Amino acid sequence: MTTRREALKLGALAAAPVAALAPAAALAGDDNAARLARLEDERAIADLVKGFVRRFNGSKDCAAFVAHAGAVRIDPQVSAIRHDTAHDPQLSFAEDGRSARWQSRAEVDLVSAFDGDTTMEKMARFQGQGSASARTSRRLAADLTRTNDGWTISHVTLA
Amino acid sequence: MATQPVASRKAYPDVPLFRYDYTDLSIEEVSRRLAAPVLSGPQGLEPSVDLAGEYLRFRSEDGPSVDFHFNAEMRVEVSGAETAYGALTLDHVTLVALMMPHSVRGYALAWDRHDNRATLIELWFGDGPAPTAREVNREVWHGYIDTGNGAPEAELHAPTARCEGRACMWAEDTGNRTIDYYPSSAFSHWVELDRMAEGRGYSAPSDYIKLTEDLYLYTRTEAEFSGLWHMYVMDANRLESVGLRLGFNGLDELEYYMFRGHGEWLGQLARFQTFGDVSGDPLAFEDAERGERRIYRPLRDWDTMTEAEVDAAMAEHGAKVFERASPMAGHGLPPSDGLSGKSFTIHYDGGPSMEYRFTSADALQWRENGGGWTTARYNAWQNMPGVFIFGHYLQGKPDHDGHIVVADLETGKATAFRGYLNTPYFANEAGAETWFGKLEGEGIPDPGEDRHERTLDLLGRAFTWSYSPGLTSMHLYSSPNTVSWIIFTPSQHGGAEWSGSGDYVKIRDELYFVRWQEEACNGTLGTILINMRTMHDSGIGYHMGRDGLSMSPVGAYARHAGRIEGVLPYLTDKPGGTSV
Repeated sequence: MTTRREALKLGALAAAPVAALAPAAALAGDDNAARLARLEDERAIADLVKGFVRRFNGSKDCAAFVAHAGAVRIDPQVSAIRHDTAHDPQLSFAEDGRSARWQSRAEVDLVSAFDGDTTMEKMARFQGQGSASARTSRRLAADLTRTNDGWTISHVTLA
Repeated sequence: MATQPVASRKAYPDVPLFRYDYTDLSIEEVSRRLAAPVLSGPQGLEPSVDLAGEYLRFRSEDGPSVDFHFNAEMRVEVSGAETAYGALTLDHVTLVALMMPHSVRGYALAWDRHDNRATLIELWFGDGPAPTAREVNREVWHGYIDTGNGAPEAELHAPTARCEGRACMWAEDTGNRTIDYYPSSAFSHWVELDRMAEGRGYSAPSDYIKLTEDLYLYTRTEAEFSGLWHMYVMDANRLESVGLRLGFNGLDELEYYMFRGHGEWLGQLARFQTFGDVSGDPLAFEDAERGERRIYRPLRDWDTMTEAEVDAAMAEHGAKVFERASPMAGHGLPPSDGLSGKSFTIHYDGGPSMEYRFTSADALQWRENGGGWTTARYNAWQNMPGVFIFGHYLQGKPDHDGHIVVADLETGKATAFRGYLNTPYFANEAGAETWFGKLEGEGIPDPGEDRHERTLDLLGRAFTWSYSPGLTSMHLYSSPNTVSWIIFTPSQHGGAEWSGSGDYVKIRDELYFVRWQEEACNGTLGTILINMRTMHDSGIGYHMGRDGLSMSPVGAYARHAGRIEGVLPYLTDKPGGTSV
């Protein structure tokens, strides 16, 4: 039997611990089965978010991780997401355990393509600068929903 | 569209250079006009240095080997041909200039007599890369004069950023004076003080070459205009120069003369490269052909439209007013809802009365001179308490007007930049007017006869602007009616530079309303309200293209790059030095 810590290490993004904020009612009575189920949920969600980020940084085709096409609300300038290990992710569950919210800090690479018709962009292109990149800190927030097949991302933002 | 004015033919036009129709001289015509003057060498008021008996063998690693055998009577043999030369010395550097006979080629040589380091500049007309035969081509080679001892130990002359940020007034012995700004390491900006009546600045690709700690070589090619090439070696400490001017003026007359200049230090701006980075030629690119470099040619690259094309594009696409985010406002303030629910009238002096009802944070109703109400989308920003900048499109106006207004609700003063299309030159080029007026509305004080006023407070000043990550520029307010802008390279060198008509209005202390028109360029009217206390601006761009007219936000963080204060005495009273 794995410990909670070990379980999280298996799935947490970049091995960061998840601070799970469970409603008191959900774990009432010190029910070991419920606790185990919760740990499995935490690991599944961490795996899901980790997989989403990996896919976002790769092919960008995140369809397998989200509930619908409009779930991803991320600035198109974002080219890569890296977990900020200085901050623990936060995970909270709804009372009924059917949904959850993930929040973590991330370092985000932004690439601005200078493809517009403003004079500044035209002159940047003239100089051979088709784009610019920058790195900034953002908050990754994902709303998650439990389905018959497991957890899925219903809404994810970087703010 | 209004009839395009016909500019009278002049060596130095009395219209802006970008409005002057320079003759497209053929290479044959260029050759014909060069033939006789070449034989007598460059003209000049100062007697040329006599180099008779000198034999200078220029050598460089990658460049040409050229031997100059100087004879009596100011003659020189080069590549088997004899021609006339001119030479002037500045301290220990001698500048030699010559054109080859029966050709359209020549040389300028800067020879350091102390250590024999030298820079050779090949010059030619026609055969590219310049797109016209009248524009001088140049290629720069750094090498040495071979005295039989091989290359000197000291580093060769090299492009530099050491000149970046400075400005001087240069008075030639011809009597011609210019203000030369060096805000970039690849471009420069100059204002003619004598040859042209109007105090307007222009931008041009330039070379900056370090010869010694004191001495620098500067060139500019007046590309997109006459194509004239102007260069000098300057002593940065003593503010002396010797130079050469070559090319054809507005009357297609050959200018081929050398000069000595005396400078006046006007000030300097900050540089933004990493500490210790004094490298030059920031726009260089690999595998450039001989003479090839990045020369910004906005008019040649711009997609101009006729009035019919503008009308068709407007019918198809309409006006897009604050429809989407702009990279020009990534660092801008969020729009304000502070005008929502308010109503007021602006009475413009000599202009219309514009009545407004702001029905929400982004919708207003306007009517002009008591006419019918029209609903329009707007955005507003309050970038100093009580002062709003807002803009909207005026549906139904034949010239597709857009108003960009600064309203000071605490003083009752208002100023508008009216943008419009269908200038006499290009239908999709924005024209602009500045209107001063006063507000009338509940709780707004009556300013009486007081108005915002044009100002020289920004003259010579420069700000850097960061619009979005990686999208930056520097504004140089170079004359009372010129705004110049410089694009930084990734290394934060000043890179490409261009300029257009500008106007400057003081709204409050440290709060200025500025516009510029990208005439014969990208056609945009740019407007910004600069808050020098928060070092943030808010503004609106007005632009027409194939996909319709757009009014979009501008917003950026500012840094103060400094002020060239010395320009004020030269430009304050320059005729034409107010807005156009």
